[in-house]
Amino acid sequence: MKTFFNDTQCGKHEARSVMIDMEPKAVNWAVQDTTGKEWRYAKSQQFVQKSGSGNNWSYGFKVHAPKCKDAIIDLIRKEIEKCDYFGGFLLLMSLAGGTGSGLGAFVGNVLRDNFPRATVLNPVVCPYTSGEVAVQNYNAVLSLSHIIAVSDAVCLLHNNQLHEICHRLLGIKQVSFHDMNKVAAHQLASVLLPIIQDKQSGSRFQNVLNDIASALVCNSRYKMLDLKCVPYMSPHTMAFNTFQWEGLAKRMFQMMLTDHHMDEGLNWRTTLTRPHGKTQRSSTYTKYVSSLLFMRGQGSTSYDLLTQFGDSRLYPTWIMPACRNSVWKTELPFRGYEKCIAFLSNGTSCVKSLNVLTEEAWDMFGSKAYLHHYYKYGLEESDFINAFATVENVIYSYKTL
Amino acid sequence: MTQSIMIQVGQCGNQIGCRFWDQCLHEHAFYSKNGIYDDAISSFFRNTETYSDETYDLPMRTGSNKINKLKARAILVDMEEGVINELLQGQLGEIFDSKQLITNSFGSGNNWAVGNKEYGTMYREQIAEQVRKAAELCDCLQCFFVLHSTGGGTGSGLGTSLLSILQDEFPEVYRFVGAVYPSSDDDVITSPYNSMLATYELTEKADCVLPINNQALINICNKVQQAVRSGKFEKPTEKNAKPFDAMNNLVANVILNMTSSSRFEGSLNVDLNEIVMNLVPFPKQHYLVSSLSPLYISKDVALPPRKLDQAFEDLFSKDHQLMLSDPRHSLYLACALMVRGKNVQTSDLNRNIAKLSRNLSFVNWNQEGWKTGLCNLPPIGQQYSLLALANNTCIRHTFTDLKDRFVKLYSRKAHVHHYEKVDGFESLLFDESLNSLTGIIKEYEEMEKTTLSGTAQSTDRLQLV
Repeated sequence: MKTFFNDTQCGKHEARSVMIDMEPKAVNWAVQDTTGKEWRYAKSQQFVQKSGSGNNWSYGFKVHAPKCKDAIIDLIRKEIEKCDYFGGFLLLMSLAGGTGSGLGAFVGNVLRDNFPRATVLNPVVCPYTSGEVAVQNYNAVLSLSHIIAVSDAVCLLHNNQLHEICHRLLGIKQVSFHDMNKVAAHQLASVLLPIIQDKQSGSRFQNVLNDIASALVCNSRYKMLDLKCVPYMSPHTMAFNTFQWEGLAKRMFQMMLTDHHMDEGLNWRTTLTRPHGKTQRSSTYTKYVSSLLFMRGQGSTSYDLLTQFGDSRLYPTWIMPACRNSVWKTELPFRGYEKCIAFLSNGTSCVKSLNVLTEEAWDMFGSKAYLHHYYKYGLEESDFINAFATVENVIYSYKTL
Repeated sequence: MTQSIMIQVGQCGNQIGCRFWDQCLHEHAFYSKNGIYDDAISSFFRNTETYSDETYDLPMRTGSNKINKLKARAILVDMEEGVINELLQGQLGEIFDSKQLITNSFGSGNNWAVGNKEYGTMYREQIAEQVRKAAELCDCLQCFFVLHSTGGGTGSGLGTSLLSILQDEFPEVYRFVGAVYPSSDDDVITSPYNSMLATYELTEKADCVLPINNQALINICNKVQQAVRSGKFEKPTEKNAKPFDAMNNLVANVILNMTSSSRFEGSLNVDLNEIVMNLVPFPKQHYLVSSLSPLYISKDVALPPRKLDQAFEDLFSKDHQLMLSDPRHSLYLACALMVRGKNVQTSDLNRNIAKLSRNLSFVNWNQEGWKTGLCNLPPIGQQYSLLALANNTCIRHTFTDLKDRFVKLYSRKAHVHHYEKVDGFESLLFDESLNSLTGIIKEYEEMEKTTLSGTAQSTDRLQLV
């Protein structure tokens, strides 16, 4: 409990969070949503302005950010002071808008400058590829170029994937953002909830963020993480299901090989087998730098996944066997699921979406569309080119794995 | 929350404005039944108290402020007193402060030069003063809405001269303009001149223009009223309804829907600054064609409700556009879809966008150029309402028509002397306006040619050395 919440005198748990937005509606809604629950947001930890950023990354980064910098650092320091043992930051933002992406990128820089030794894990939301915001690709490329440099790890969450999970696995006919956010929260919680793995060390304080970063990010060229979970079920089908580790592991392995986000619609023909000693072409299955498996539920400690998921064919030769894959286990079930597996990986999963966004953004940049809105607030052509170069670099590093 | 100031200029502007304030008050009264003055109402209204003939603004305390006397954040300008006087004598008179009115009695004689140069100079200081005062009373001013017609003298001339005042005094605040363009059978002979000169100013000084055509509005009203009359039961028409009221209501509905997200809650909020950001890829191409679906004039006069997916389809048909145009067969540069309704979710939006994208052409560098918004509260009497604001090359046909009518008159220099005799007006302006419009038409044409003919080349990606 103490990892993410602070206990207050009135008995309610207070979330260790700082909420920042340039316009009040979303924050107000979130705060009101906690009425009647066992926890709440601390009253003083919200920083809200009135006018919004107009989906303009440049406005969020160049205009709002410098004005709010001091107030934000203040709020962060206050929150850190409440911690006994400060582990790191979880910076949650979206890539498509103006505040989340622009001000978010700035906050990432601020965290790195002011708290150089803290771990920063950055889950970011990628918008629907069919378009939510016309300039989403510009905003995404600009943000990514900054956060890749300052965060320890960046985890991409995709609206498209969350939507599909809600629709096909959870059976929700009319999917709302609320439903999708619940799935995203489920995914993050499945990897961030502490697992006391080593009873012998006696340490009851686990620095979750640091452990994840050191397990997955061994080289600063490779920081992009991907999250997959299994199973997802709607509450009424859960009662009729029996959970077996073997079944879950098999589905998760296939999801890992084919880089699919759900255990439905999987391509079972892709396998690791080498016909007659020749190696399978690496483009047919996903390659990884390193990966982490979380097993939550009864019987997890006695089931071995390491050999299957740690197969050397999935990883580059320069990674030491011990660093390729780890499995963290706990007997405690998660959110009503008797058994579940979460897979947090650092691999080529990010290439597809990064490629799409960069391609579209570059096309738009080529025709100089919308640029006057960005240049108005101090951004220049060279800033765009640098941003493109950074993201292309990341794509290249992963492609050549 | 942000505030907006409405500036209504000329006869047409004020009549539309009147309908807007009427609908706006109804909407807020409906959704704010306990009479609290909250963020939503403050976007267009001030809460005031009157002591000894002076009105003072009541500050908004969190949550518990009762509405005392609402005053609209508006400035009403007209060089003829008829329309404004009628407004003041009606039910809406209460919401306007006498200081917000700027009137004269001589009119502009349907002459853009008189409106822009003569009255523009005469009233510049007074207008600037009123704008400054209104802005001071706002906590966080986000945009100005200017309502006018382009065919006449006051709305067209003085309305556009006002834009330069707004640009100088408040460069950071967005200038949205609702401009009513004359139909081809307009009875004002000089309307092509006035519209051309006005369009030049709109291109240079507005951030975003929503062009509207009277003929399109008439067609829509006829469609709705026919459906209402042929319905199973007769719906009563509003008392004291005037002939233009129905048409003006449509325009008012567009503005209400456009600002719904900045006033009410929703799962995907869209502020007015986001509209400009996403729909204006190049500074001068800021003309957005609007369309509504389902069509409704007021809560009692509307087409019968249809299935949501059908409403999305209708939104892109030419019968629902507020401009005589057919965007489906032209090229989209970008399109905003703003949806109001309790039961509409992101999955409905996505499903329909996927369907629509197959049949609509988007410019090659903005294939997914959609901006979507979801607001929880629908308009009164409707289950849901969809608004599309499209930056589409079909506008070039309207501009070409305007250009042709202009050239017909100008080639003979007919009526030009009326303009030239006004102090401050130079006949060079005619040529400049013509050049500007020709330029815009050409740009839209170019984009259409490149994308629709398939000759667009995508630039090579950045190669790493």
